[in-house]
Amino acid sequence: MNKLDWDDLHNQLLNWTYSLYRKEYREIAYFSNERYFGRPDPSLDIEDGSKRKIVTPDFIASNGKEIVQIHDIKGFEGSIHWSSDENNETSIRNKLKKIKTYENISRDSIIAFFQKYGIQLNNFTIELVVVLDFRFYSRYPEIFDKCAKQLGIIVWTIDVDQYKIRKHVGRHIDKNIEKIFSGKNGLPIVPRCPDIILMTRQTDRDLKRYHFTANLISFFCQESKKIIKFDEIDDIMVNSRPPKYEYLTLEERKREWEALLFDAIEHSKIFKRSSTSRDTYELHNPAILESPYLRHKILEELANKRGASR
Amino acid sequence: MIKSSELIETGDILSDRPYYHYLLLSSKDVKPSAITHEIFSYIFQSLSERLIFSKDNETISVVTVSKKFRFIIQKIDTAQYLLIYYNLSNESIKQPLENAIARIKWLIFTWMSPEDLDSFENYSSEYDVINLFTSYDPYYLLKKYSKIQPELHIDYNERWYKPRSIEVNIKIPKGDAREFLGTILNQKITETVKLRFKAKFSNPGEATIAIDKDGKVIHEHGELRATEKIVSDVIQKTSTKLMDFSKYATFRSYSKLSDGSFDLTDYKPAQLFYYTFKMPDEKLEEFSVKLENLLTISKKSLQIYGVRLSRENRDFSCLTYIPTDRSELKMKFIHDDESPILIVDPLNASPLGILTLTRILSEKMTWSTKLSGFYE
Repeated sequence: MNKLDWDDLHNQLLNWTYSLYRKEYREIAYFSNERYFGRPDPSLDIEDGSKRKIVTPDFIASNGKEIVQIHDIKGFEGSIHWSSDENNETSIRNKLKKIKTYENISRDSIIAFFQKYGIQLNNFTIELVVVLDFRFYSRYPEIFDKCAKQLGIIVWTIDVDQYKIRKHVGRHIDKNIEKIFSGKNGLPIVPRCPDIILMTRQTDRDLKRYHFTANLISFFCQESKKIIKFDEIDDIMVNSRPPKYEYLTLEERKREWEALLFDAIEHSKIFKRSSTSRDTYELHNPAILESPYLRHKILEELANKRGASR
Repeated sequence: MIKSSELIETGDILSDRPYYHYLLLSSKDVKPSAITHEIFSYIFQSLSERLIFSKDNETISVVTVSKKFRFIIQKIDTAQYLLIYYNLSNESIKQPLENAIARIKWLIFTWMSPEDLDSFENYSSEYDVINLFTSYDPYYLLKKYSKIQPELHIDYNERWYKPRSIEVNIKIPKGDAREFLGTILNQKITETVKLRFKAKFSNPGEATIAIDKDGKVIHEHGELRATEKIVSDVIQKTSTKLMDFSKYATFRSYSKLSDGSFDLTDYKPAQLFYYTFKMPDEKLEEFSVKLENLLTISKKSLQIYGVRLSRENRDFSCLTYIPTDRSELKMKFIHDDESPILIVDPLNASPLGILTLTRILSEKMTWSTKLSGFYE
């Protein structure tokens, strides 16, 4: 029936990276143990002439002093069509090149980002790190190494079969980190993909729709409610376990819920606007509160949609 | 742990009247007064009497004007326990109360598994009555072997796929039931779901008590304080179970930042666990289909639902939701040479969700369901 792959590779690699910076993973929290602090999916500014542009790297970390690491995570899920070697080199270089733009991120916006978490930065150097899936890297190691060297970036790979993280190209400024990575066989990571963060700005639209709707439905069922106000949605999403988009600003979250709610009304026809009051929404078919079968049908349909688009 | 003096105001004790004790678990951190409001606003419609509420810290008591009914609702330990008990000389309130509780999805009865119930044997040497119960479910057979088109399933759900059950009542000491009936009938129906016994304590004395799988303790007659010892025991068993399940549940705490975003300050990753089932090989196929149906389509009375992610022969994986605590669980059913297992990844489950899942598997699939610990 539905051939779903729920584990979005990009998100998996991101979570594995994040776990290295979380104190909760003690033995494998290599960066947290070295007093690094990292957060996923930041929103930062690039000053491009007089215009300001917003960029969202996948991960950002700092040791609180002179180093800021910016990570670009590449799952490469079927995004490159392979033909001759020359094409491969060009397309790999183009893919890796994107991270170079992060060098132009405004220093003030980085300082402001860390300040939010109580970390004061003054002078710092930016390290650019590309995180790749090892299965993919190992097909073209020479090309990756060559391109990365030319670009002057650091390459890590995550091996999801052997649960290892390795550094292939580049040097970290921090000597302790270089020492940790010095072993030949790579460093162990948690054997099961962590689930610290469920959705990022990069997450596939259909998967977002699925989680959004599934969450609202389970809320409606728990509360035996048929009607909801728009303002309540943020609370529901943030208080679900795990929270959805909790790390975004309230303003950005609201825009996200608006778009997703619009989808659920116009396309999937799960909710409808209330005819009596503004900013209020109700279940299209209230019978779902009493029927697990109808709920199953709704989720199955959303899941199949995701299956079809992949 | 509750003390008996907290339960009943001494002046009220009329030991030979039935007293019902319900232990309810709440998945939300709510005050007893909020629950009282939810329950009584509903019951009130079916009661012609006026109710008088009085509050004392975490205890709420509700009395009808004629004093025929008295409810006491109390918060025990953390947010997760609530004890409702009431006395009644008139059964008319029982059904409305149970309907009200069933209506609130985040409030559930505790669960006394067959083993838990069996352990009450220690209090008494004899069993007056044991209730044996088994049910069968033709649903998956119909769905699997019939040629009904999928779009008609909703229609057929109503008409054909109704749960059916047999209930057997036998008055016999439990030891004898095991010995004699076990060989005649299928072993599984000799599991206890309700028991009634005379508890004997040197102090405070004797009482006739009934307990069922929902953990409802009914004091029938005798010394009320003896019944309270049994109530404490139900609470104790529930606490132990929830403590045990909390090993697997996830935990997160957040701090709110100035721009409205939340920062994860503390995090406990979910731990995989697994269930084992005992069954003969030839039943495995049937079992796997039935289990998938239970976890994805389920039944009206159970309220759980989900989607199948994949299936290969008898192995499958699915994503299941439990409305009680808004749990989301990713599950995988596999079988190797030994016995089939169900691996559970509690993406978003609280101990209450795990309790609900364990109960459903045990009651709807097989009594041999066992939560066997961490899955490595």
